[in-house]
Amino acid sequence: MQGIAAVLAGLMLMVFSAGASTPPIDYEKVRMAGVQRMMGHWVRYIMLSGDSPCITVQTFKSANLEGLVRQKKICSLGKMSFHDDFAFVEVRTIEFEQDQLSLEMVFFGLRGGAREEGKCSIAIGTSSIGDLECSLEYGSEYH
Amino acid sequence: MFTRVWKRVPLTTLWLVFYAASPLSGSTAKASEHRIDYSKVTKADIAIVQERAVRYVVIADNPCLTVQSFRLGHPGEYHREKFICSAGGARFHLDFALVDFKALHFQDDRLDVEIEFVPSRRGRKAIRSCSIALQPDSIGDLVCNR
Repeated sequence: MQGIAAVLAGLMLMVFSAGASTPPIDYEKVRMAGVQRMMGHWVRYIMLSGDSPCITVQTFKSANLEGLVRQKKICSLGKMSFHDDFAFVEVRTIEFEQDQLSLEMVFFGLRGGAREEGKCSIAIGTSSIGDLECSLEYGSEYH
Repeated sequence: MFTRVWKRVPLTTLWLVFYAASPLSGSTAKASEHRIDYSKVTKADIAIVQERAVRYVVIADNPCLTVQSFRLGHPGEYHREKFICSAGGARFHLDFALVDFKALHFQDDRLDVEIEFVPSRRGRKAIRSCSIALQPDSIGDLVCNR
């Protein structure tokens, strides 16, 4: 009996700690969003105000955005955090393509006003949402 | 980080990013009859037009287009909010089977909207070019080309 109680307590701890690490999305702060059907799901990107330029990508079963299948919040380019490793990151455009989101982004470096802009992408698979990948104008590639 | 940013990034861009850092839920928008379920947002964008930050929001299962304006320097407070649920006397939820806001683009003094209207009875669906005038103190009605 004690063993079962311990297992249950452990499970509850896992559930609550998982909830604490992923705060709910405050959708009312939306500043940029789009939805399109691709790869068998309805895919939505959403960016919030006051959220740095993090990009949340979600896949849903239905067009009315019920049945969340997958969700990924992207706040970094490779190992470089939008918050800590750049002065500012701007997403200019996001467009849907056949199997990816295509983005135009600008990255302002922390020192000396360095600025790089270029095309980026987030791959959308039938069972996965990829990371942000960019080829920037000075030839930098981040994966 | 923010102090560094102020020196390098155009103020307008920054304002758009942070305009609603304080909760919009604190606004006094009269939303009782047009309650917006933001978790079902399908299209949204924001731009500075006529000295106001203007946001449009399209919600799944909601035939209306919501346009909101905010005073620069007063983040989180709606200045104007308009629910556009009809065009030229035709009501989106009654007179059409589907109203699809296909493309929305901010211009200097208006929001251009390309809309597909699918009639609820017989008739062909039609794609119309429409626009909503944006002035510092008003959000206009939806006006569509014939």
